[in-house]
Amino acid sequence: MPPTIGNHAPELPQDRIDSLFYEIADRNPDVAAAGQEVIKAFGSADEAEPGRTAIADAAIQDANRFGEEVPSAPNPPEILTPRELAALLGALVLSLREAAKNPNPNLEK
Amino acid sequence: MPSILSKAISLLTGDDTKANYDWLKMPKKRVLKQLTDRELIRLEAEIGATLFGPLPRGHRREFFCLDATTWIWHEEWVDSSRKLQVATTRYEVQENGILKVQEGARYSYVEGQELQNLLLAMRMYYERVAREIYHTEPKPIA
Repeated sequence: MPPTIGNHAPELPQDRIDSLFYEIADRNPDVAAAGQEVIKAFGSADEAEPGRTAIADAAIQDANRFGEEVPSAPNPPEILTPRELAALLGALVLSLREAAKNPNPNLEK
Repeated sequence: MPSILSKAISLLTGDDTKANYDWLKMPKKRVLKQLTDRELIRLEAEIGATLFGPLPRGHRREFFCLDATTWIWHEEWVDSSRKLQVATTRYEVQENGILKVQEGARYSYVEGQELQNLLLAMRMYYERVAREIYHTEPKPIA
């Protein structure tokens, strides 16, 4: 099988894993659901590759610990669909590129 | 005497009383060096290549955002018979989902683990290029 993104998960730094977890947990007052989302995002401990197992384990432990502290979110933010998220990220990268090409348009007038 | 001396000095050092130093001043409307799309993509692709951890020996990888709706994964490696292999995958964000396009007219919508990996990679890519190339904080995403 040729290398594709399907068999290569991005390697995330630990602080980013933590922040992604809390982003997910913030949107889910139900801790069990948060844990499930984390497992869905990072893969289950049983099926995951060695590196990913550690991520899933850490996330589950965080879910248990974090569970006692999560207040119910009255208005959870809208969750983007995968397609919407991909479109948004592409647009954001393009906007960075455009801004770099025109550092300050007023200076060129 | 002083006038002769001052004349001699001015002959040696030059007369700067009427000198114009404007050329030394920094222009107020200076335009910063602008990079082309291609140059920016090349810089971004260097970061994209590092998102998936260390590469196996003999592999070369690129992952980058080509335009607002197209992302590219490109990998080259030497196989066991020492032949160069190349795989390029294009991910197109379309109305119905994210279409994966590979050589040989193979098309499929991305789903499951590959979709999760792709979205995480896109997100990490955006955050890292924002900070490391464009020196700005990425916008928070819901």
